[in-house]
Amino acid sequence: MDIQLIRELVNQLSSGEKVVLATICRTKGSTPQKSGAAMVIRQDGNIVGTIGGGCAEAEVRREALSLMVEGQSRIYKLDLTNEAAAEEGMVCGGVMDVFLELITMKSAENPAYSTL
Amino acid sequence: MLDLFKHMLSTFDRGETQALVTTINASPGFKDMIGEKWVINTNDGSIEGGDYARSVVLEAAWESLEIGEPQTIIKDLGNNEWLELFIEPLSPPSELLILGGGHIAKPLVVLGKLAGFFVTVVDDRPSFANSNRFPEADEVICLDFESTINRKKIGPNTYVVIVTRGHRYDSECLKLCVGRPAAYIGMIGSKRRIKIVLESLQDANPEEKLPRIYAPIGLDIGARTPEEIAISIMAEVIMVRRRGNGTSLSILREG
Repeated sequence: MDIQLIRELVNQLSSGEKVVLATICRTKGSTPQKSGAAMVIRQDGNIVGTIGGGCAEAEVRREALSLMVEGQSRIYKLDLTNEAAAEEGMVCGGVMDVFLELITMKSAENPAYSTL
Repeated sequence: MLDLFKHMLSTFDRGETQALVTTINASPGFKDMIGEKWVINTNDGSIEGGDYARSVVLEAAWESLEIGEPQTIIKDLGNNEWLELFIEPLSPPSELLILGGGHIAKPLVVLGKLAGFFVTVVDDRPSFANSNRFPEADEVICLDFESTINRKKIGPNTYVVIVTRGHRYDSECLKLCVGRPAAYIGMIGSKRRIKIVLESLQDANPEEKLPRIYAPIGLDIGARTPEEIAISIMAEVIMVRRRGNGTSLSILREG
Protein backbone atom coordinates (compact mmCIF):
# COMPACT_ATOMS: atom_id res chain seq x y z
CA MET A 1 0.00 0.00 0.00
CA ASP A 2 1.40 3.39 -0.93
CA ILE A 3 0.16 6.97 -0.98
CA GLN A 4 -1.12 6.73 -4.59
CA LEU A 5 -3.33 3.80 -3.64
CA ILE A 6 -4.69 5.58 -0.56
CA ARG A 7 -5.52 8.59 -2.78
CA GLU A 8 -7.32 6.23 -5.16
CA LEU A 9 -9.34 4.78 -2.26
CA VAL A 10 -10.27 8.28 -1.06
CA ASN A 11 -11.31 9.33 -4.58
CA GLN A 12 -13.40 6.23 -5.20
CA LEU A 13 -15.14 6.31 -1.82
CA SER A 14 -15.75 10.06 -2.10
CA SER A 15 -17.58 9.55 -5.38
CA GLY A 16 -19.71 6.82 -3.80
CA GLU A 17 -18.02 3.88 -5.53
CA LYS A 18 -17.13 0.60 -3.87
CA VAL A 19 -13.83 -1.10 -4.65
CA VAL A 20 -11.88 -4.20 -3.69
CA LEU A 21 -8.47 -3.76 -2.12
CA ALA A 22 -6.16 -6.72 -2.80
CA THR A 23 -3.06 -6.90 -0.59
CA ILE A 24 -0.37 -9.57 -0.59
CA CYS A 25 -0.20 -10.54 3.07
CA ARG A 26 2.01 -13.63 2.91
CA THR A 27 4.38 -15.16 0.38
CA LYS A 28 6.30 -18.41 0.21
CA GLY A 29 8.96 -19.19 -2.36
CA SER A 30 9.65 -16.96 -5.32
CA THR A 31 6.82 -14.51 -6.06
CA PRO A 32 6.68 -11.48 -8.36
CA GLN A 33 6.00 -9.07 -5.47
CA LYS A 34 6.50 -9.21 -1.75
CA SER A 35 4.15 -8.87 1.18
CA GLY A 36 2.55 -5.40 1.32
CA ALA A 37 2.15 -4.95 -2.44
CA ALA A 38 -1.44 -3.97 -3.16
CA MET A 39 -3.86 -3.01 -5.89
CA VAL A 40 -7.35 -1.61 -6.11
CA ILE A 41 -9.96 -3.18 -8.38
CA ARG A 42 -12.72 -0.79 -9.38
CA GLN A 43 -16.29 -1.80 -10.08
CA ASP A 44 -15.71 -1.49 -13.82
CA GLY A 45 -12.80 -3.94 -13.52
CA ASN A 46 -10.06 -1.35 -13.96
CA ILE A 47 -6.97 -1.80 -11.81
CA VAL A 48 -4.78 0.71 -9.96
CA GLY A 49 -1.48 -0.48 -8.49
CA THR A 50 -0.01 -3.93 -9.00
CA ILE A 51 0.55 -7.20 -7.17
CA GLY A 52 2.83 -8.58 -9.82
CA GLY A 53 1.07 -8.36 -13.13
CA GLY A 54 0.09 -10.98 -15.66
CA CYS A 55 -2.01 -14.01 -14.94
CA ALA A 56 -1.83 -13.72 -11.15
CA GLU A 57 -3.37 -10.28 -11.37
CA ALA A 58 -6.04 -11.43 -13.80
CA GLU A 59 -7.01 -14.22 -11.42
CA VAL A 60 -7.21 -11.84 -8.47
CA ARG A 61 -9.23 -9.37 -10.52
CA ARG A 62 -11.74 -12.10 -11.36
CA GLU A 63 -12.04 -13.05 -7.68
CA ALA A 64 -12.38 -9.38 -6.72
CA LEU A 65 -15.27 -8.83 -9.10
CA SER A 66 -17.17 -11.77 -7.64
CA LEU A 67 -16.37 -10.50 -4.14
CA MET A 68 -18.16 -7.27 -5.00
CA VAL A 69 -21.32 -9.32 -5.36
CA GLU A 70 -20.83 -11.70 -2.40
CA GLY A 71 -19.40 -9.12 -0.03
CA GLN A 72 -17.38 -11.32 2.33
CA SER A 73 -13.74 -10.19 2.57
CA ARG A 74 -11.34 -13.15 2.59
CA ILE A 75 -7.87 -14.47 1.96
CA TYR A 76 -7.36 -15.81 -1.55
CA LYS A 77 -4.54 -18.30 -2.05
CA LEU A 78 -2.65 -17.88 -5.28
CA ASP A 79 -0.54 -20.84 -6.27
CA LEU A 80 2.16 -20.11 -8.84
CA THR A 81 3.66 -23.59 -8.55
CA ASN A 82 1.04 -25.78 -10.16
CA GLU A 83 0.92 -27.00 -13.74
CA ALA A 84 -1.76 -24.59 -14.85
CA ALA A 85 0.36 -21.69 -13.62
CA ALA A 86 3.41 -23.00 -15.45
CA GLU A 87 1.41 -23.31 -18.66
CA GLU A 88 0.29 -19.72 -18.29
CA GLY A 89 3.89 -18.71 -17.88
CA MET A 90 3.65 -17.82 -14.18
CA VAL A 91 7.08 -19.21 -13.62
CA CYS A 92 7.96 -17.67 -10.29
CA GLY A 93 7.06 -20.89 -8.52
CA GLY A 94 5.86 -19.47 -5.20
CA VAL A 95 2.63 -19.26 -3.28
CA MET A 96 1.03 -16.06 -2.08
CA ASP A 97 -1.92 -15.17 0.10
CA VAL A 98 -3.85 -12.15 -1.07
CA PHE A 99 -6.31 -10.49 1.27
CA LEU A 100 -9.32 -9.35 -0.75
CA GLU A 101 -11.50 -6.84 0.98
CA LEU A 102 -14.55 -4.96 -0.05
CA ILE A 103 -14.13 -1.28 0.74
CA THR A 104 -17.31 0.76 0.96
CA MET A 105 -18.52 3.85 2.80
CA LYS A 106 -20.16 1.61 5.40
CA SER A 107 -17.99 0.24 8.16
CA ALA A 108 -18.58 -3.18 9.68
CA GLU A 109 -18.95 -2.10 13.29
CA ASN A 110 -20.37 -4.43 15.84
CA PRO A 111 -20.87 -3.32 19.46
CA ALA A 112 -20.46 -6.92 20.66
CA TYR A 113 -16.68 -6.47 20.48
CA SER A 114 -16.51 -3.33 22.57
CA THR A 115 -15.37 -5.33 25.56
CA LEU A 116 -12.08 -6.31 23.92
CA MET B 1 -13.30 3.80 6.00
CA LEU B 2 -13.11 7.07 4.06
CA ASP B 3 -12.19 9.02 7.20
CA LEU B 4 -9.46 6.54 8.02
CA PHE B 5 -7.87 6.83 4.58
CA LYS B 6 -8.09 10.63 4.75
CA HIS B 7 -6.42 10.47 8.16
CA MET B 8 -3.59 8.43 6.58
CA LEU B 9 -3.08 11.04 3.86
CA SER B 10 -2.78 13.86 6.39
CA THR B 11 -0.28 11.83 8.44
CA PHE B 12 1.82 11.45 5.28
CA ASP B 13 1.47 15.19 4.62
CA ARG B 14 3.15 15.84 7.95
CA GLY B 15 5.97 13.51 6.91
CA GLU B 16 5.17 11.03 9.68
CA THR B 17 5.33 7.24 9.51
CA GLN B 18 2.37 5.03 10.33
CA ALA B 19 1.32 1.40 10.48
CA LEU B 20 -1.84 0.01 8.94
CA VAL B 21 -3.32 -2.99 10.74
CA THR B 22 -6.01 -5.13 9.06
CA THR B 23 -7.86 -8.16 10.41
CA ILE B 24 -7.41 -10.68 7.60
CA ASN B 25 -8.88 -13.70 9.38
CA ALA B 26 -10.57 -14.57 12.65
CA SER B 27 -12.05 -17.44 14.67
CA PRO B 28 -15.76 -18.20 14.00
CA GLY B 29 -16.94 -16.00 16.88
CA PHE B 30 -15.11 -12.99 15.50
CA LYS B 31 -15.75 -13.38 11.76
CA ASP B 32 -17.38 -9.95 11.62
CA MET B 33 -14.04 -8.40 12.54
CA ILE B 34 -12.50 -9.47 9.21
CA GLY B 35 -11.65 -6.32 7.26
CA GLU B 36 -11.54 -4.13 10.38
CA LYS B 37 -8.70 -1.61 10.14
CA TRP B 38 -6.64 0.51 12.50
CA VAL B 39 -3.93 3.06 11.81
CA ILE B 40 -1.18 3.69 14.32
CA ASN B 41 0.90 6.85 14.15
CA THR B 42 4.35 5.50 14.94
CA ASN B 43 5.64 8.92 15.99
CA ASP B 44 3.22 9.48 18.87
CA GLY B 45 1.62 6.04 19.26
CA SER B 46 -1.92 7.30 18.67
CA ILE B 47 -4.43 4.93 17.10
CA GLU B 48 -7.36 5.60 14.76
CA GLY B 49 -9.93 3.33 13.16
CA GLY B 50 -11.75 0.37 14.71
CA ASP B 51 -13.12 1.09 18.18
CA TYR B 52 -12.63 -2.48 19.31
CA ALA B 53 -9.59 -4.47 20.29
CA ARG B 54 -7.42 -1.34 20.28
CA SER B 55 -5.16 -2.50 23.08
CA VAL B 56 -4.70 -5.92 21.45
CA VAL B 57 -3.84 -4.24 18.14
CA LEU B 58 -1.40 -1.77 19.67
CA GLU B 59 0.40 -4.55 21.49
CA ALA B 60 0.67 -6.65 18.33
CA ALA B 61 1.76 -3.68 16.25
CA TRP B 62 4.63 -2.63 18.52
CA GLU B 63 5.90 -6.20 18.65
CA SER B 64 6.08 -6.44 14.91
CA LEU B 65 7.03 -2.87 13.98
CA GLU B 66 10.48 -3.48 15.41
CA ILE B 67 11.05 -5.81 12.48
CA GLY B 68 10.07 -3.08 10.00
CA GLU B 69 8.60 -5.36 7.33
CA PRO B 70 4.93 -6.15 6.65
CA GLN B 71 3.85 -9.29 8.45
CA THR B 72 0.96 -11.30 9.78
CA ILE B 73 0.48 -12.12 13.42
CA ILE B 74 -2.11 -14.23 15.22
CA LYS B 75 -3.47 -12.69 18.40
CA ASP B 76 -4.95 -15.11 20.93
CA LEU B 77 -8.05 -13.66 22.55
CA GLY B 78 -8.63 -16.62 24.91
CA ASN B 79 -11.55 -19.09 24.83
CA ASN B 80 -10.25 -20.45 21.52
CA GLU B 81 -10.93 -17.12 19.84
CA TRP B 82 -8.27 -15.34 17.77
CA LEU B 83 -7.64 -12.61 15.24
CA GLU B 84 -5.11 -12.73 12.45
CA LEU B 85 -3.69 -9.28 11.86
CA PHE B 86 -1.73 -7.98 8.88
CA ILE B 87 0.56 -5.16 9.97
CA GLU B 88 2.26 -2.90 7.44
CA PRO B 89 4.63 -0.09 8.31
CA LEU B 90 4.08 2.79 5.85
CA SER B 91 6.48 5.64 5.17
CA PRO B 92 5.63 8.93 3.51
CA PRO B 93 6.88 9.21 -0.09
CA SER B 94 10.63 9.63 -0.28
CA GLU B 95 12.06 12.82 -1.72
CA LEU B 96 15.00 13.02 -4.09
CA LEU B 97 16.63 16.42 -3.60
CA ILE B 98 18.97 17.15 -6.50
CA LEU B 99 21.32 20.05 -5.89
CA GLY B 100 22.53 21.26 -9.27
CA GLY B 101 20.59 21.26 -12.53
CA GLY B 102 23.33 20.21 -14.96
CA HIS B 103 23.84 17.26 -17.31
CA ILE B 104 23.42 14.56 -14.66
CA ALA B 105 20.32 16.12 -13.12
CA LYS B 106 18.36 15.77 -16.35
CA PRO B 107 18.31 11.96 -16.56
CA LEU B 108 18.34 11.71 -12.75
CA VAL B 109 15.00 13.52 -12.49
CA VAL B 110 13.44 11.02 -14.90
CA LEU B 111 14.89 8.03 -13.03
CA GLY B 112 13.78 9.47 -9.68
CA LYS B 113 10.21 9.78 -10.92
CA LEU B 114 10.30 6.24 -12.31
CA ALA B 115 11.41 4.97 -8.91
CA GLY B 116 8.51 6.74 -7.21
CA PHE B 117 10.29 9.68 -5.59
CA PHE B 118 9.01 13.21 -5.13
CA VAL B 119 11.74 14.95 -7.12
CA THR B 120 13.07 18.44 -6.44
CA VAL B 121 15.81 20.15 -8.47
CA VAL B 122 17.70 23.17 -7.19
CA ASP B 123 20.00 25.52 -9.09
CA ASP B 124 20.77 29.22 -8.74
CA ARG B 125 20.91 29.81 -12.51
CA PRO B 126 17.52 30.54 -14.11
CA SER B 127 18.61 28.94 -17.38
CA PHE B 128 19.12 25.66 -15.53
CA ALA B 129 16.41 25.81 -12.88
CA ASN B 130 13.20 25.97 -14.85
CA SER B 131 10.36 23.57 -15.50
CA ASN B 132 10.97 23.60 -19.26
CA ARG B 133 14.30 21.95 -18.64
CA PHE B 134 12.81 19.54 -16.07
CA PRO B 135 9.21 18.84 -17.10
CA GLU B 136 9.12 15.64 -15.00
CA ALA B 137 10.30 17.25 -11.74
CA ASP B 138 7.72 17.83 -9.00
CA GLU B 139 9.46 21.00 -7.95
CA VAL B 140 12.15 23.18 -9.54
CA ILE B 141 13.69 25.77 -7.21
CA CYS B 142 15.70 28.66 -8.60
CA LEU B 143 17.54 30.02 -5.59
CA ASP B 144 21.00 29.94 -4.06
CA PHE B 145 21.86 26.59 -2.47
CA GLU B 146 22.33 27.92 1.05
CA SER B 147 18.89 29.51 1.36
CA THR B 148 17.24 26.49 -0.24
CA ILE B 149 18.90 23.92 2.01
CA ASN B 150 18.21 25.98 5.13
CA ARG B 151 14.55 26.37 4.24
CA LYS B 152 13.99 22.86 3.00
CA LYS B 153 12.59 20.12 5.19
CA ILE B 154 15.27 17.42 5.18
CA GLY B 155 14.31 14.29 7.12
CA PRO B 156 14.62 10.51 7.23
CA ASN B 157 12.83 10.25 3.87
CA THR B 158 15.04 12.75 2.04
CA TYR B 159 17.75 11.56 -0.33
CA VAL B 160 20.19 14.34 -1.18
CA VAL B 161 22.26 14.20 -4.36
CA ILE B 162 24.92 16.89 -4.70
CA VAL B 163 25.83 17.44 -8.36
CA THR B 164 26.40 21.17 -8.76
CA ARG B 165 28.51 22.82 -11.43
CA GLY B 166 31.65 23.09 -9.31
CA HIS B 167 33.52 21.62 -6.35
CA ARG B 168 33.20 24.82 -4.40
CA TYR B 169 29.40 24.64 -4.56
CA ASP B 170 29.44 20.91 -3.93
CA SER B 171 31.37 21.25 -0.69
CA GLU B 172 29.25 24.23 0.35
CA CYS B 173 26.12 22.12 -0.10
CA LEU B 174 27.67 19.20 1.73
CA LYS B 175 28.54 21.38 4.75
CA LEU B 176 24.95 22.60 4.93
CA CYS B 177 23.52 19.07 4.65
CA VAL B 178 25.69 17.03 7.03
CA GLY B 179 23.93 18.20 10.18
CA ARG B 180 20.51 17.27 8.79
CA PRO B 181 18.87 13.87 9.36
CA ALA B 182 18.78 12.82 5.68
CA ALA B 183 18.43 9.15 4.66
CA TYR B 184 21.20 9.59 2.12
CA ILE B 185 23.74 12.26 1.22
CA GLY B 186 25.77 11.67 -1.92
CA MET B 187 28.28 13.95 -3.58
CA ILE B 188 29.95 13.78 -6.94
CA GLY B 189 33.69 14.29 -7.37
CA SER B 190 37.09 12.67 -7.74
CA LYS B 191 38.52 10.60 -4.87
CA ARG B 192 41.27 13.15 -4.27
CA ARG B 193 38.95 16.13 -4.16
CA ILE B 194 36.50 14.34 -1.90
CA LYS B 195 39.24 13.42 0.55
CA ILE B 196 40.13 17.12 0.89
CA VAL B 197 36.48 18.15 1.35
CA LEU B 198 35.76 15.48 3.96
CA GLU B 199 38.93 16.28 5.90
CA SER B 200 38.14 19.97 6.05
CA LEU B 201 34.63 19.11 7.16
CA GLN B 202 35.93 16.91 9.98
CA ASP B 203 38.45 19.61 10.99
CA ALA B 204 35.66 22.15 11.22
CA ASN B 205 33.66 19.85 13.52
CA PRO B 206 36.31 17.83 15.39
CA GLU B 207 33.88 16.79 18.12
CA GLU B 208 31.17 15.47 15.82
CA LYS B 209 30.99 12.13 14.17
CA LEU B 210 30.09 12.77 10.54
CA PRO B 211 27.22 10.77 9.05
CA ARG B 212 28.07 8.47 6.20
CA ILE B 213 28.65 10.51 3.06
CA TYR B 214 28.27 8.63 -0.22
CA ALA B 215 31.17 10.21 -2.09
CA PRO B 216 32.25 9.60 -4.76
CA ILE B 217 28.58 9.09 -5.47
CA GLY B 218 27.07 6.03 -7.14
CA LEU B 219 27.59 2.30 -7.57
CA ASP B 220 30.55 1.02 -9.56
CA ILE B 221 28.93 0.00 -12.85
CA GLY B 222 31.61 1.62 -15.02
CA ALA B 223 29.33 4.59 -15.83
CA ARG B 224 30.73 7.22 -18.23
CA THR B 225 27.96 9.25 -19.83
CA PRO B 226 25.70 11.56 -17.79
CA GLU B 227 22.86 9.06 -18.31
CA GLU B 228 24.96 6.15 -17.07
CA ILE B 229 26.17 8.16 -14.10
CA ALA B 230 22.57 9.03 -13.24
CA ILE B 231 21.72 5.30 -13.29
CA SER B 232 24.70 4.57 -11.06
CA ILE B 233 23.52 7.25 -8.59
CA MET B 234 19.93 6.06 -8.64
CA ALA B 235 21.05 2.47 -8.13
CA GLU B 236 22.87 3.56 -4.97
CA VAL B 237 19.89 5.57 -3.74
CA ILE B 238 17.59 2.56 -4.22
CA MET B 239 20.14 0.33 -2.52
CA VAL B 240 20.10 2.56 0.57
CA ARG B 241 16.33 2.92 0.53
CA ARG B 242 15.70 -0.83 0.20
CA ARG B 243 18.68 -1.91 2.28
CA GLY B 244 20.34 -3.79 -0.56
CA ASN B 245 24.08 -4.33 -0.83
CA GLY B 246 24.81 -3.48 -4.46
CA THR B 247 26.23 -6.90 -5.32
CA SER B 248 25.38 -8.60 -8.59
CA LEU B 249 22.65 -11.13 -7.79
CA SER B 250 24.49 -13.81 -9.77
CA ILE B 251 27.43 -13.52 -7.36
CA LEU B 252 25.08 -13.94 -4.40
CA ARG B 253 23.73 -17.11 -6.06
CA GLU B 254 27.22 -18.64 -6.19
CA GLY B 255 28.18 -17.48 -2.71
